[in-house]
Amino acid sequence: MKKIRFRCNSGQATTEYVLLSAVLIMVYLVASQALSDRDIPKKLIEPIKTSFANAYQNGNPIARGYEDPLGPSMHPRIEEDGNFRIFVHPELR
Amino acid sequence: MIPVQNRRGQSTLEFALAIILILGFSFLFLKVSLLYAYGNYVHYATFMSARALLSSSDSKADQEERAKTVLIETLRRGVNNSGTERWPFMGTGYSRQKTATDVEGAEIGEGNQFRSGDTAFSWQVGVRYRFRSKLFIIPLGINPRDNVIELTSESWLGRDVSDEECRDYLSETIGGKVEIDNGC
Repeated sequence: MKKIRFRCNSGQATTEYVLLSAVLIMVYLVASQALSDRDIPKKLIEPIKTSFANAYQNGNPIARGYEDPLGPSMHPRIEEDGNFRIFVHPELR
Repeated sequence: MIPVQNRRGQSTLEFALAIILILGFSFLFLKVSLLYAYGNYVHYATFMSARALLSSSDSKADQEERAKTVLIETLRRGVNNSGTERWPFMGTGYSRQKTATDVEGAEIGEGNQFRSGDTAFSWQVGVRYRFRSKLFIIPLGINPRDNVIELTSESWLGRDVSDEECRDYLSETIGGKVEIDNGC
């Protein structure tokens, strides 16, 4: 097999640089697009603002307090069948 | 092709872009951890304040004053500096409406669903403390309103009647003449 010899290899580094830059820019664009379109920061903090806030105030993530517009539910002090003392029964989740 | 004579700024620029994202998410986890710890501390403060309200005293106002003092000592920078948050970075008290106490975020005494004599609602006597905190220190394009979490700590331990209320009760029911000591 005849070996082809290039007289000048000076463009190799530039080509590699351009290709690599294209990949990096693409990754950066996809990441920044995902952050803004899918609202990832908001999705990250939403469980903290709802489930954790409920558990913090009422003792369980699915519990609702007396101040909730929908009325209390799964609240330790409510007089109904669905109330609880320490843990909500798994079947009710 | 334009030859670039100096590329020293490239790595700095890349570092600056990357560090914003990295720090943004790192600080979120740090802040949430601090928030959980502070939340536990606020629960403790509310509970201790509710205990102070529970114990009997000369008057109802005295019981409420003691509860307020406990909150100030735990969540503010001391009695002489009651308007300043102890750890404003972790959470600051806020009120939905103007309350009787001058401790921002605190509601001491009967809750807004309290109904005297109704067993379903008469339990709501104690202390409630609302506070809020920012989550993302570097906002990363998030709406400032979404970036705030509001938490409520409640402790409804009830309140023993005070000596003053006890005397009033006895004078009303027995006409000032004590015949039976019911423990009041």
